[in-house]
Amino acid sequence: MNFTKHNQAVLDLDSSDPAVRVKALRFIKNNIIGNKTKKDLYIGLNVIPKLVTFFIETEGVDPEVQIQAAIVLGSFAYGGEENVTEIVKHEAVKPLLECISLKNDPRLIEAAARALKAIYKCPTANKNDIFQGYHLQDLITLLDPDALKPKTDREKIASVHTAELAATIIARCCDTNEQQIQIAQAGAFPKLVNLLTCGFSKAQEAALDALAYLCRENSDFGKEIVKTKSETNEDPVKIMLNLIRDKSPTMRLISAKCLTHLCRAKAIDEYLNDITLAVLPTLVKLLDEKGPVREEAPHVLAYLIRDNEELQKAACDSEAVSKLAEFVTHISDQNSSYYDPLGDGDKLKENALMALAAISSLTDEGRKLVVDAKIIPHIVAAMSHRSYGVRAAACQCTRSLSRSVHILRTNLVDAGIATPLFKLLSDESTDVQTMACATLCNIVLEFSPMRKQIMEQGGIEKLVKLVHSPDNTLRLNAIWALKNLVYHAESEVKYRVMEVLTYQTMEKLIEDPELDVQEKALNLLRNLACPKPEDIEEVFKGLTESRLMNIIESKLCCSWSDEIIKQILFVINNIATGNEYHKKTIMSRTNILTHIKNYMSHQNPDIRVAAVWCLINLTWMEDKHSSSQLRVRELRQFGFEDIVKNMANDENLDVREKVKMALVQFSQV
Amino acid sequence: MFAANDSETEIYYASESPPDLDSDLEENNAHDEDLEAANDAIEDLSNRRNNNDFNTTNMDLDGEYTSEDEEQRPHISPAAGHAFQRLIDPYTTRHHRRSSSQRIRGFSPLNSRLLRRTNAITPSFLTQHVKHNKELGLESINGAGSKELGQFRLPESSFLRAGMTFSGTQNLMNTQQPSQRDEEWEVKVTVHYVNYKTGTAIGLMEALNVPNSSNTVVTYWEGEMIDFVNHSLWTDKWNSTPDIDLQHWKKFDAFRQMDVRRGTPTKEWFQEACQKYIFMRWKEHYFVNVTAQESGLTIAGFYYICIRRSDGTIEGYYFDPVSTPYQKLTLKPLLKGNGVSFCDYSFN
Repeated sequence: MNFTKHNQAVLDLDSSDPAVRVKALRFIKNNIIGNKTKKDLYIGLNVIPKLVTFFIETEGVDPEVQIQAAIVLGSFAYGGEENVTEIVKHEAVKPLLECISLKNDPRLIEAAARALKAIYKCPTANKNDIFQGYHLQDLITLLDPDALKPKTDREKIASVHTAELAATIIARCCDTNEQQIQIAQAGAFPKLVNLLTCGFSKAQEAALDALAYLCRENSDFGKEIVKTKSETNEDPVKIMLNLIRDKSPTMRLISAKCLTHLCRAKAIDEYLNDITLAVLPTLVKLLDEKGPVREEAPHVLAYLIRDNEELQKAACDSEAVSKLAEFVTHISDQNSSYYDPLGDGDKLKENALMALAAISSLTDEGRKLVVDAKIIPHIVAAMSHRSYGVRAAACQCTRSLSRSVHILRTNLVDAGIATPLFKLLSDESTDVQTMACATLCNIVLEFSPMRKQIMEQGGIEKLVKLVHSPDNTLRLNAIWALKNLVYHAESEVKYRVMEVLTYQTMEKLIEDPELDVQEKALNLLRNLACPKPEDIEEVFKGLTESRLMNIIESKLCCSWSDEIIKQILFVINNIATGNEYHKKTIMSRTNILTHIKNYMSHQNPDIRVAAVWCLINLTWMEDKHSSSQLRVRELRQFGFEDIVKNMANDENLDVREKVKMALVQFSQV
Repeated sequence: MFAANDSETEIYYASESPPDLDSDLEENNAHDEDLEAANDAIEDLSNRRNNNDFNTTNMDLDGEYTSEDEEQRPHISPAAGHAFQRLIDPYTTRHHRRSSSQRIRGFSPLNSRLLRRTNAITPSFLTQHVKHNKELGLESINGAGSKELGQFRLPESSFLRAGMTFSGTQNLMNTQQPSQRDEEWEVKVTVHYVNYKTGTAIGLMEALNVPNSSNTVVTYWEGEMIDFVNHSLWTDKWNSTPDIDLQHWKKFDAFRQMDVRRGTPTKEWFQEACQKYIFMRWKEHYFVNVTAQESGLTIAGFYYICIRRSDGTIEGYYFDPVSTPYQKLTLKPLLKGNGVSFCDYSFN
């Protein structure tokens, strides 16, 4: 019996002779490269902590040993997330970061950077480490291949490789705005732009990646990058527009991604032409590639066209929908997981669904294309997919389609989407719940044939439960759905909803810390308080008159949000269509009347219109009732008639028409 | 016949000031087609270089003007009408903005005519127009075209809003026997979707106590606003013709107020009309609660609609080649309270 070769190698690491150590390290390296089993074996033999010690006790450690140890660690890191977790667990990251300091041997720097690149690919590593000490500065310096003063050709190539590694590490540690700021302040932009011109594709790709993350959702940085010229005085955007035509699909994808991020950051508005004619078509053509490129292209495409109607229209004119539909219909789904045990097809499916959702989000044209591609049954099936990303994406797609009254009433009903969608409100993933809830907002509308089904399955109860969620978006979507539910609803439905929700909860939502939630809750109140006096009476009963008026008064005076002001004015308006008593409650509160008066000169025409409508309804003549006449006189005295007289030349036609209506009513008394 | 201008529409609607009726018509490459089709002399139009009235350095497009000069215009038969619609020549390199003098100009007297040309609005002409509008939208992406045109919208009316319900009657308008009230049924319409940008609306129509039927019949309809960018006065579908269109539009009080003597609406008429009314077409697409057969009704035709902005009254005429003509729809806002209330939803 004896130690295995592998065990022996690990033991040899303890040797005091550096030559023995190096030999052992080389042996280990050769065994583990590309070999998962061997990697696991060595990890089992506890080799990682030993390797880490070579960096911690740097006194008396031969540089060659460190270099080989770094190479070996790097090799382990490329073996997957579990290995990285091990490495991180044994606190290898900080020592490795020390290794990239410029005082070290360039070969050590390169090896350590390579290891770090693989480590940062996984979410387990703490990305804040690079922002300590001089590490970030070292990385930035390494972006310049000349920093290490390479002399031979081999050294030059190694330097470029190191620059590429540094750029990738930066790209991977650039998630938050704070991180973006720190990296930018360290001087990343000029160096990265220069790297774009170095002529080595991998380095250029890494630079593009880094720039993409530095300007993501960051308008200032986007604009700054655009202004940063290279040492050869070239314009970065022009460079990117060139690289987007490269023969390598990866290069095309990353250039497209970078340009997409710049576009979304509103940094290249003057290049809109190029975006439409170069970036968009490139992304669509990349859907024909294989592997990771094909997988990521839809993701970038979805991001590019989000919120942009013109680009969505351009995407409609391309082959995008049919290609994306292929991914949804033909990639293996849950039932054939046998063929896809690792779920590699899942991400593609998810990204494809998100891209289809984006194309159909703003235009009927896009929605029609997606419907005609016959993927709705697959969307329904995807709602029970094993991957939560796919489930959420299926909801997002449905949501886009449900914004069309026609599709809501035909294709979605026919596909039986209501039940699976409703189930997802109880999904284990909050993301999925949130997305399903957003879609349900449209499904529960009065003109949607699926509304009844949802209510019968306990939709009201479920939505009310979600309205108490601590997640802001989920809570917003839930109250949104409830507000849509009572739009134009029969009194019985309104009654039922409030029975479950309770006026107390609604009050709480009206005071929610999120303004959007407040607005939707007020909209709910508005929808409840119409169209019949009986409906208004219910609201009075449920809230009590004083609480209702308090809500109104407080929202009127302390609101800085146009949307909230609009909703509250319509609450008042609707109450003013009630009976004598209801109208009187408004009339008796001079605060409210004063606010209405003031809002008649608001800069937003929608608010002006709402204010005038309040007046119209307060001066409404019911059969020449004497109390109506009294109200008109009171309002005249309050100054309303004079005010609307002065509004006869309002720039908004609807306002002018309503002013005329109000004046007619005044003239009758 | 009348000249409808949608050239400066983005300016007029955007600023909410009355529309300016430059009745310029840019020629496009469909024009040759039209010359052949224009056998009936509808109107004398001149094609002239716009030298005298405005700054030519700003604009280098051909224009055609309606003639306000009666003598030069032959009697216009209602056989074919046309609307002047702005067409941007796809081959111009820039969209030229009009100078203010052009905008104010309005209908211009004909000082000189280089060419007399007749111009019929044919379906192909219209299709070209709609296509051009789409291209304008694309042009705005490229920055070459006018961005504003792509964002044009009709001024909104509180009454044409999602959630509004209207009620009234539909009856056969029998001018020979005004006392005949055989066919009349109650109608309720709820509007559920309005989009001023695309000039579309969607709603449900319910017919109650239909003669010879026991159920209420509910249909789903989609509507188009006559905003002269998304949709013109000419239906160009649903078995209609410009002739039929005119016959129906003229039934509305709004159109009758136009100066019939001249046969051509004046600028003032048109400005007022759009300020006071919204014109639409509503087309029912399917039955909701019963089958077609059960209902005993047909939805093969469509309605010409006029909505009065001041009080939300709706006047409509149903057209269907095989139905009794001019069935009149009269609606007004259905108010269940003592005033007008507004409920609201939004798509997430």
